[in-house]
Amino acid sequence: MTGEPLLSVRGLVKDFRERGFGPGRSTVRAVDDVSFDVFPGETLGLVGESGSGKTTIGRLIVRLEEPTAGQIELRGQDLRGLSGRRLLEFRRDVQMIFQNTQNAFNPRRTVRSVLSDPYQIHRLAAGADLDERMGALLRQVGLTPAMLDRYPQQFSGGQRQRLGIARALSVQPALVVADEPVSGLDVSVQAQVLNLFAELRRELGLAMLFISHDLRAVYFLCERIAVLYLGRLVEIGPRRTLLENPVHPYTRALIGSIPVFRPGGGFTRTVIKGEISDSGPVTAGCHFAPRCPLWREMGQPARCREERPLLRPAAGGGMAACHFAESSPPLAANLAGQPSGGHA
Amino acid sequence: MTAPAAVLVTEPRAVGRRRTPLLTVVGAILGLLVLLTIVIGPWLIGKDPYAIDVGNRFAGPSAAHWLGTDELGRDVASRIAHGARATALIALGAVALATAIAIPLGVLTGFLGGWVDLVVTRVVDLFFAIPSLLVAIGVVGLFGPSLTTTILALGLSYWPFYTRLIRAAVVGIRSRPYVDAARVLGASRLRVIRTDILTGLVPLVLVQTTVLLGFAILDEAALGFLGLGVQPPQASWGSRLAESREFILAHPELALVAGVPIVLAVFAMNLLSDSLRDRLDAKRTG
Repeated sequence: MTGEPLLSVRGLVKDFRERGFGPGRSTVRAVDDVSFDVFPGETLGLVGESGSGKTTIGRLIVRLEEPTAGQIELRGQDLRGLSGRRLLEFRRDVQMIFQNTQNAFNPRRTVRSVLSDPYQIHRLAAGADLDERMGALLRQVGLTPAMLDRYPQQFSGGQRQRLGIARALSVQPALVVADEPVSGLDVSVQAQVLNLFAELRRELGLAMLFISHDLRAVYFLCERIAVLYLGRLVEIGPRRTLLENPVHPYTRALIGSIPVFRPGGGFTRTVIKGEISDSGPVTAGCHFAPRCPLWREMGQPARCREERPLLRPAAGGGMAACHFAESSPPLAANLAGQPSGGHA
Repeated sequence: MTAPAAVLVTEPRAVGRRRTPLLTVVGAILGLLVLLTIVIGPWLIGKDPYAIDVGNRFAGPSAAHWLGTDELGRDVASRIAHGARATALIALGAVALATAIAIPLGVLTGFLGGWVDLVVTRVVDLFFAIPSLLVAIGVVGLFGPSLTTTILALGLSYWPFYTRLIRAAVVGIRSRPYVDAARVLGASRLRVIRTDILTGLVPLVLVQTTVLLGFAILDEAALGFLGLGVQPPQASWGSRLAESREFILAHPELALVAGVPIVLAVFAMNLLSDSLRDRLDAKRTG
């Protein structure tokens, strides 16, 4: 984690406006002043509930959406207003793996047809060379070249996700944004795909932004983890720190929500009260305050409702956005170290 | 990477042969019958559809005249077979015209969105306020009745709803993850339209073509019946219907013979479009 960051996100904001015309349309801020870096070869996990803006951040980075404000830089180069040849070059550097659904692949096109697209678009290969490279690509993700002439719906969920990985790797990117790549798969298949990610990362030196709501998958794969809540980054830090000593009340609640097996028998888990939608639009202060257990414990200090907490260094090398992060007692749980061994 | 795991290799499932539904068979047979009438009917009957024989008016079916003769003593079978050609030409022309307008416009509006979409959609809405037969009558009134005008009239009355249909389908396809994936890979808009949008439209267009062919045959008959279609003495199914109308009380069999082919052809098209719709379900491709 030294040297220049590969990807640098600064003050990213994305507003979605209601459909329609004229004034009076309400605006939803999906991503609210988010900043982080991804270093070469590093995997950063982006976790959060649904609606936290993690998918939007992924789509902004691969330029499927335009940011409302803020900067996204790749190797120090600003991506705003990139077009034509420069945009095409950027496409080779940054790729995306989509959530496995029926519609991740066009059901009317063979694997050969879909996989040959990137080689044609970027003029990377043609003819016999193309066949060879597509075959090698399939082998790389654990499939066989004979599968080139099949249709996507002739594959199982896990195989189709491998195809999705192959599609993203075809242009040999430096950074891959993986949006919920293992949700929607059987648990046993999830493990296989996660192992594939780990292998590819090691072999190719890929940097990855791994977007997931599955904390166990994130722990298995990521060096650093960023936690999002309602479009804002609440905590970011090395995997171990975040897992063993989370400082933000939301992160603590999130980690507390993982069911832990107790040797004495049974499971324990702490459940956060309320829904993400309960908070309503937060105009000032900390957007987690309405659901924050720490805020209630401390007698609902006014500062949380008035002043927006900024990310600041916390113990253990991470950063957290909480006015009272220091006041929280250490997490007295036995889950520290437990998931870091990996589940796959 | 280790050697590919054998577990991951599965053979494609053998697709069991499904029995062709009865209605598909009926539709195919009727469709074939109509096609044969168009292609070899006139040659098979071998009679001049325009030869007037006033001494032999309203003759019943005989060896010489399979379906009898009409009010001018012309061979009815021959007029229907020749008329089938004119009607088929009109139907195909009208559908081709509507498709040629609807696909580019629907893809443009559905894919690009923005103000182009807004303007075209409003214009389409405007057309929706006018009954389509009225549009057709308007066009005929403007250019005078003829075969070409009928094609123009029907084609122009079909494009608005067809455009809306295509646009809706394009909007649906555009939001699929595989289109996002193509964009991330650097595919241009044109490439996405070619590889993902147009291929996705194929089933819809095939089904709509058969549905519209049925409509066009019916509407040609309606225009013909109103005397706004193909003009006498040229034969078409619509004009045949118009000619027989005058004698419907004295000789109802003429109207019946004129109407049956229309009913059968439209029925065939509807059956075929239904079975096409079932067959082209994307989930079963491959």
